[in-house]
Amino acid sequence: MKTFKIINKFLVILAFSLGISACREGKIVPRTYEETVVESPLEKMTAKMDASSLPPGHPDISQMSQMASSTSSIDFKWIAPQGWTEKPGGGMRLVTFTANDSSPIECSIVSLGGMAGGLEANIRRWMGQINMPEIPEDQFNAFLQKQEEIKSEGGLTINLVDLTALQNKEPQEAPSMIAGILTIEDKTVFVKMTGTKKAVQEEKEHFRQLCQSLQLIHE
Amino acid sequence: MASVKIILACLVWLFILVFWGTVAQVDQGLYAAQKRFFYSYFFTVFGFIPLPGGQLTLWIMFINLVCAGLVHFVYKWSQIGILVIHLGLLSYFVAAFVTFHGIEESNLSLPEGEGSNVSSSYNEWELSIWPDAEESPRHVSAYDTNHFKENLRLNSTGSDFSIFVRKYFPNAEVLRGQDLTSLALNKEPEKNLPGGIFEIQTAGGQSIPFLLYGAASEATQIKIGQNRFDFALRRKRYPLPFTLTLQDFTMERYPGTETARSYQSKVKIEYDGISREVLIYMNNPLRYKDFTLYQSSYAIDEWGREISTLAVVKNAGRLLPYIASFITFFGLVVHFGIMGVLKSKSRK
Amino acid sequence: MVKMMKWENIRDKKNTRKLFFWAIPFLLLTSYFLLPTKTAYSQAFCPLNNAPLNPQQVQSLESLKKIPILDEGRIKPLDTYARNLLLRFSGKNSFEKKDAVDWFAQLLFAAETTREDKIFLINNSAIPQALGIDPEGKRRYSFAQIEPHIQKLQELARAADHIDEKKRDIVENEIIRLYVNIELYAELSLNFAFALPHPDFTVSDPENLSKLDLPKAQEFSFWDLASRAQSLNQLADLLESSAPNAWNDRQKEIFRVMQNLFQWGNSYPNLPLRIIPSYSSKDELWLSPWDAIAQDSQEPRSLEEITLLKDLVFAYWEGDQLKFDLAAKTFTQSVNGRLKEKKLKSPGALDLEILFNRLGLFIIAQIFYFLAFFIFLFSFVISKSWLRLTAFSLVSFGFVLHLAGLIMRSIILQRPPVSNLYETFVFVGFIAVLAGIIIEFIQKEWLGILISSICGFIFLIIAGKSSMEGDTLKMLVAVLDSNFWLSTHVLSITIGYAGVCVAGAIGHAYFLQAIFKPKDKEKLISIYKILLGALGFGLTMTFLGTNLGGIWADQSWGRFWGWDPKENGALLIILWCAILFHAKIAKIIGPLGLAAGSVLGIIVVMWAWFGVNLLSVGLHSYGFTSGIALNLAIYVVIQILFLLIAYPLAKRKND
Repeated sequence: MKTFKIINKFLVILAFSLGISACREGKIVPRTYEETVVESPLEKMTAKMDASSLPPGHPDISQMSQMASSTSSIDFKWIAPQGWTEKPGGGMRLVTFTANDSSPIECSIVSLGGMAGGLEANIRRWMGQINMPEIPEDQFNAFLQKQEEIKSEGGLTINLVDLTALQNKEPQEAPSMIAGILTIEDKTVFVKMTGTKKAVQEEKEHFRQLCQSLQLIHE
Repeated sequence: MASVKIILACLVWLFILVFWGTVAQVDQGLYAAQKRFFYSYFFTVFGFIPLPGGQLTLWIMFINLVCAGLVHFVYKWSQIGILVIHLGLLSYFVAAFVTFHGIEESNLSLPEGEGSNVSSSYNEWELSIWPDAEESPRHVSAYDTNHFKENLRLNSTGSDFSIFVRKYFPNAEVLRGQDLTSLALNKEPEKNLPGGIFEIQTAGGQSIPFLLYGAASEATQIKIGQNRFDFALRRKRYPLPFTLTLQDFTMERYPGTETARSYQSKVKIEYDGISREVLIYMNNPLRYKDFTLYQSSYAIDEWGREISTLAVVKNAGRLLPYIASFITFFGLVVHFGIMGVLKSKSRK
Repeated sequence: MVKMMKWENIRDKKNTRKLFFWAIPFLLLTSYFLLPTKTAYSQAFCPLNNAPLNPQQVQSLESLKKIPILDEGRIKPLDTYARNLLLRFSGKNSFEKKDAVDWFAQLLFAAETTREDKIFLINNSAIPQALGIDPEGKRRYSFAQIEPHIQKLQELARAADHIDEKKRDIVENEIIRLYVNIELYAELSLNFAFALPHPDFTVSDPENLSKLDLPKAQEFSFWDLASRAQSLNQLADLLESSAPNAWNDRQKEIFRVMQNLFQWGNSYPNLPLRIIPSYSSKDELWLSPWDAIAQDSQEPRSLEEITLLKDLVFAYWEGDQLKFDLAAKTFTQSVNGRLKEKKLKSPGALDLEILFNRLGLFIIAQIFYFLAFFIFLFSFVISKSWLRLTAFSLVSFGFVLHLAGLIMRSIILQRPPVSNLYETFVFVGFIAVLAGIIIEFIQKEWLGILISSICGFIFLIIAGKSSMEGDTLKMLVAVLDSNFWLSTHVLSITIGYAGVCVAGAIGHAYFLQAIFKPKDKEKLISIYKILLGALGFGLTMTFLGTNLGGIWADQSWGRFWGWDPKENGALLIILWCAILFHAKIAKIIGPLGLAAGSVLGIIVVMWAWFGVNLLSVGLHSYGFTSGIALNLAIYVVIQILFLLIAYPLAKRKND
């Protein structure tokens, strides 16, 4: 029995020391590994273009964006509104804009294949994204009827969807969105600006300018 | 140490622990309660009174079982049931040990058309650095963030610069694009988004500060000397011995409801020059070596793309619990069977 | 033959025709407030005098019961739907001694007549007060009582909905439940609005009437005109011949009718009565009558089926049993024919379900169990040998019915019958009764009968209470879909629960025996041995079930054990049994202690079974949470009191 008692004590001590050793810190050495990233075909091609793009903050690089999207059969040209900073996109995202600090918005242009879910479905999804409650069908339809349709310089028809119109009761800091949708051949293009309600309303005019500046360039 | 009284005390304490831990999950969340009650050796109440945790209790039970096996157990055929039961229980302890120390759980989220050879951790993060280049694969150096603290120096391998951690918060918020505040840790650890302010010091004396945030969708590119590197604060990546590409994802709902009936991912797995297509769906995982990949969930991203999430589990000891279950159940049946026969004999 | 039927629901002696014509527009008007998220329609209300129909009632609704409907992802007969609806509204599945389907037919075809029916159960008395309604003794209120306060109810429901689900208190949940029920009521009442005449569709110009092949000038129903769409379109050409401000009365009438048709056609989307399977071969969706109309499908069957529904409504009003049955049967045949094409549910399964509903097998089994228990008690007064046999037969009959019910459920659902909480109660009761029967065979001394009767009765009663959530024949969420490991896991663990509960029941018996007949040592020992057997059985099956659960978890998401509340619950049962056995080996407790431990074991089982559902964390949440906490607490208190009294008493008498 005595031997067992000793063995028991030893085992208990062993258990403790194992536990303690787990807490000891090691030196900070990095792990290394090889990461393979398989991209969808469209992304792969545009990514190559991105590699030669300039760091953020460079003014008006619409030429670069043009090259970035030249791999898809549809090329766009646009003019960044005054005061907006342009950043090159990646993959389906053709470009991203930010405005200055006092009107914090983010605006991006995205090109998707096909119907991309349809107008209504996308609007409802966006409403969900900014936590807007669902509205009845007739109100929704009425809202859609009231939305603007603008023609850009390139002759493209863009349907604007201004969700701030449905947010009268929301505070100024509530997340909001305004989007422009155009369908060309078999692609759907979204121009989406998100930010606080106040900022979106403030930058709405710039947003319209951006949409109006959209032009197609065929190869 | 071999006494029945010890095991009885342990069983009673384990009972209390399990109940307590279960109720605590309501407030603290599954993860925190697990850590505090079941994975710990000790935990404190009222701030300072220590109580034995799950690990300690189980270790004591294990040692007691071994000793009892050597000292107390009666090795007769009539006791065969009991012996088998406790042999099975021993196997459970072994299985638990192997699993606890060896399991790696992560996940892999892929939009249709994309693939990867690394999976992401649920709760752990890393600071990854790789040279900015076009070709795949990238050579990534990654620092696990659990040891990050102020002014910690991260030794880099083979480059002529070092990185210092100036600020790091496991759950943070970015202010005006330039600064970070710390937030309280979330009950659900996957929801924590860390942020850090780091500083590169080059051999030439240059100092480049930069901010990284866990929610960033793209890496930050920094030019150091003649080279360009990508920096990202992202969930820890576990290299997999294969590359998985999602070719197609489909989902079926019960008619007229939003309840999902089934979802499945058609993936292509590549390893050692072999490439094959596999269908992964609920209750039909993909198994490769120690890895098992399960269809876990799906999402639709802001562009309307379908993203399939696969749970990745690496566990060399996967089958041990099965063996333990079988042995113990067999023992139970044998034992109570024998008891039943003996008792009914004595009745007659 | 016109049958005069009793209309208990219509309290006033007013001309029922007038009532009817107030009904539809009035309902529509009030419904405008009830359905803010769905439809927007406010038809101007105007009373009319010439009603073509007399409201009669049809005697037998058998043919209505068989119409299939898609609800909660499952194809079921209208009979089941009606029962569940009534159960959901009022907590009972019959109303004023009539079958659920009788009331349901009234709701569908003549909703106005149900306005005064007290069918909405409001569990909490704070709610009628908050709404400004006089509280009723029986807690059931009619639509007429609630209607004037709809706005307030809506406000309260919206507010409650904003609160996070887990943080809502019992009153808030009840408000939401009531609101949802009222919405459902209103929506269901609108389904056949297309079949009933309405001023919006008055056609009086003789030329229009002849072109549209309609009889004399009167109000027509939506469908009367919609089914004549082609002729209407021809008439519409007339409108082009002059400018709108120069239209004559005839043209104005055409325009008005067409505008109303268009408006109505778009006003009732997504109503909950899905009885028409989609006409496209790929779709598994079903449509409500209005959706089918709105689809404007050119399928000849679509027109047929909707016309049949219209005939159904008319026949109901006219009290014409023959026509009613004909319409219902033809409709059902048409639908079933299409289902066969799509290879969906066969009509046989629906008939089985109607039979199952009608038989109420579990209720009868309950009665048998209760009678057996009664005889047990009676046997203390008179002791005759045939009493035991009688009780045993009663229990066995109950068991057979119980078994039959379970088998029917499995056939109807095509899966083993243990997938939701309700089913586990029924199944555990079943196993407990079986265990009791086996014990009786072995011991032949009333112990088995006692266990079977008490456990069977109690578990079926609890099952009955938990069935109020709605359709107990539910479909499964994707994760829980039929799977070998899952089925075996649930089956074995419920058998384990049953075993431990039976052990607990035996524990009670042991105490009673020890207190009232301490001299009969042999009997005491015999009970003790059976107790050990039951406990061992319970432990083994619970252990098996827990492990199968671990295997299932490993197969499904890679984790054998995760310290999840449900897993922990099962572990607690295993630990408890292990504690009892080890305490026995350590000689710390004797038979009495084991009996006490088994009695407490029932509490551990209750905790694992549905106590953890109260916590709602992890991967294991199902339903049935309201009211359980209280009942569980009461039960625990009673048990502890029992032990506090019985244990010392028994100890004293047996030392």
